[in-house]
Amino acid sequence: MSLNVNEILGELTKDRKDRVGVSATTLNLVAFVEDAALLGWLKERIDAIAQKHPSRTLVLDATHTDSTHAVHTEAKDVGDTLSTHAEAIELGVAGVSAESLASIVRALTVPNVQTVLCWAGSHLAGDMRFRQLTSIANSLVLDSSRVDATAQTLYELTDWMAGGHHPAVRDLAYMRLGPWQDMIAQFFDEADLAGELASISRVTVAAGSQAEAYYLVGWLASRLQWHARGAAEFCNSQGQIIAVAFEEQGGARRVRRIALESGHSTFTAELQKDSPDLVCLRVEGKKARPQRCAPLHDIDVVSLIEEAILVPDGGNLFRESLATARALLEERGSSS
Amino acid sequence: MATTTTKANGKTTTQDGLGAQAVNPLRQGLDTGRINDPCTIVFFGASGDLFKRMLMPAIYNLRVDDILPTNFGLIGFARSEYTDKTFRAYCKQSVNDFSRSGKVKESLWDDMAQRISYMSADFDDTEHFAQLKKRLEEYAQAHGTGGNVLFYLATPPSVFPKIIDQIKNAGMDPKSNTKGWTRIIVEKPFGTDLTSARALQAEVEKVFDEGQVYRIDHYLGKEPVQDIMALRFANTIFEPIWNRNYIQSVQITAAETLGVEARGGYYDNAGALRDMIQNHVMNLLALVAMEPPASSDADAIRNEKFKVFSAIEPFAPEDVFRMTVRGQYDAGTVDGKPVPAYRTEQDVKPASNTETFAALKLVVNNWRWAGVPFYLRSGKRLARKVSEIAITFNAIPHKLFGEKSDTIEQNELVIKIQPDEGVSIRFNGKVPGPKNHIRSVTMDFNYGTGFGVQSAPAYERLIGDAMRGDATLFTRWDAVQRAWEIVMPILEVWTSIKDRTFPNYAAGSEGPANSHELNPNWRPL
Repeated sequence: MSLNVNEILGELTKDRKDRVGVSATTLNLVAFVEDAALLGWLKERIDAIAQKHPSRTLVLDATHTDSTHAVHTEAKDVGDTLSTHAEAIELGVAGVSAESLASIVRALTVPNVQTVLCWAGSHLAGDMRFRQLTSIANSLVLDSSRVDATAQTLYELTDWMAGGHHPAVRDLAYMRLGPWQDMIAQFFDEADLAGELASISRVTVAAGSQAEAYYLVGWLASRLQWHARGAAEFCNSQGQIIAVAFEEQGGARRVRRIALESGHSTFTAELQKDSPDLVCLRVEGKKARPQRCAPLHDIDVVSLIEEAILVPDGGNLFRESLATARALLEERGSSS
Repeated sequence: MATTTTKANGKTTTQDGLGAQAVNPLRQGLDTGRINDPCTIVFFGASGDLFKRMLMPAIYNLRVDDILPTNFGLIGFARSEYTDKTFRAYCKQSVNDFSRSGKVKESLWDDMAQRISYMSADFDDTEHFAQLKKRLEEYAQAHGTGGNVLFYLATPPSVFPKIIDQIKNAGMDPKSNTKGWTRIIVEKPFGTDLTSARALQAEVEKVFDEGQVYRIDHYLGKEPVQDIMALRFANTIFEPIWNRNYIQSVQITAAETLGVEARGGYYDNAGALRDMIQNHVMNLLALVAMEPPASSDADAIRNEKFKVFSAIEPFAPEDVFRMTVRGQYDAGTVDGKPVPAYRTEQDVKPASNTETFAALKLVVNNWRWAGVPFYLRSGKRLARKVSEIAITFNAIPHKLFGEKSDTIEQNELVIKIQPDEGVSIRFNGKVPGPKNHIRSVTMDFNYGTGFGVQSAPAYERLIGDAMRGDATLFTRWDAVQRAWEIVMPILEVWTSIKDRTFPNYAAGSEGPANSHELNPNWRPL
């Protein structure tokens, strides 16, 4: 291994030696990436987080060999006396073994502060580097809809989480559904419409990526006590069948529409074609309501990662949604 | 009646009686941060400066941050002549001029604007309040705001009783509202002395229960003020030493470089004691001195704050001279510019006896604080704008470092409220080298860099809390009354005996010289 940890730490010390005042580090942000197309994109976002949260960031670039590294520190003046550092280390780690990688990360992170792993690898638990790095991290942030175009990552994620002790997990694919969950819930805040939830017989989700679509259906089903019964259906506690249909539409990682058909009405939340930040909510049928449009508070990736850092555990809602989505995926797998 | 807020099974309930929503299973575990209850907020005094500079920008930013309820309405109610259209333009302009998030986003504004309307009204005219009631019913239908109404008194205090009376007469009081909750936010000052505060409270009580009244003190909405609780009760390292055994004194400072600006008429009838000490500064004292509450419930916290005030004995008249200092600024220089004397400010009486500086030494008579002086000071046209709480710890008990021990500074914890927001701790360390030189160093935590986020203005937090039914950061009547009881002997002496040394400090200075007789160790401004 040609990476010299002491040399890197020495460069960090040298780079900040002229800084006056106190170094405040609130977290280690470790980002692993093995897709050259994602590298620049991820670094930009990691830098944006570091600008807000004094951090030591460690970009593990598996697209370059271990002979490359870069170190950079940044200071901000606050008042007359305090300066605070953002410290960035970028390492080429292609070909570095999982054990070595973990050892390097241990040596280069600041002890006793939270370590967040942002994983942008191609696989999860099947990759030993993932296993090693998650054993170091306090929390894991991933975006399952970036890992693969299908929802297979949800499979891997569920199995890994079921496998024993693991750090807190946030999946950006699930987190970006927050505004949609709220929109759908709004339909049923009205007591007269809440009763329709029991008679939903069909759910259609149009989205650009499968992970978001499965998560959305998984969330809905877990809230309404539906159980996966076949490749494309759930069964509710009364034994009634709920058909599920997925349509691939719109840009990646974007939900475009969800429609819920109940005994009396159809509830549709849909992005406006000419105004992509506006969602129109329609209730048609016997319990029709006037259409209402509301801005979709689409959350940018930096804000999602920041939220994942501040609230590292997705909670039961996330875990139950994931488990229900996985159960549907399993039914699909077994029927195909 | 107190108000508490609980969330269970997706249903929000508040102790003022009315739940947020029927149970919706899709709400279970879903924490959007948004206020669940739909509501209409009525701003009395909507054409005033407070609404323009603070309240409207706060409402807009609550929308930007997706905290406002989905079904929301705003009605401006004031004397000035506006139509709905011109009032919306006025609101938009106030956002453009004063919002922390910059100019309005048109996509958001279009939706907001249609929820805003205005009533040009006379507070004496019963018919105008009847029309307001009708407007609220129309809002409930058109904007889905249900029966929930939040009244905001942003008018001069003199018309508070009249508005409250009109609310009752028009049938907009909580008891007449069978479809939702009714709450009222009352701006400070709550009375101008103990008698007027009690009189105002008597009017309020005729219409609202205590759990429906939100007395605003915007200091309590500031992030560092809220952080006092976190600092004390989310850490184990401070609580064991947070008492008379380790703390020598507490200083609370709220100093301004500004003069009375355009508020001369108001200020000359108020003074520093009424304007700052009785409310803002006393509330800071309560947060520093209170016992750990049993829960984060609003009343659990407010009970503890009230106990602090109960443990402060109001001064006997003869003690007022010994335990207080008052001052009034003369002409001087602030930030390099000459500024006039208080008595020559606009709308101030030429022989005014109003204090622009007040300093007090209070004692909290309980087990934790017996013998620890709490020094409070507030003033205008001082050397530096600073609000902070400084806790000075006892000197070291044993001189381990010989003569050098005499120069060792005492540890100090400073909670900085404005303009810097954060916490600093002073401790001592050895200067590197063969000799035992001890020097004090300061460790700073700054909100801006520590968390990288800008604190939201206090009004955003407080309006949002009132909509949620969370009264934690609002002042309860018993505390308001007790704070008046504490300052009344001082007010009475100061009013009856004029200070012939006025003006007694130069603008831009540290205040009157005799404030250092009260406390020789004030932190420099």
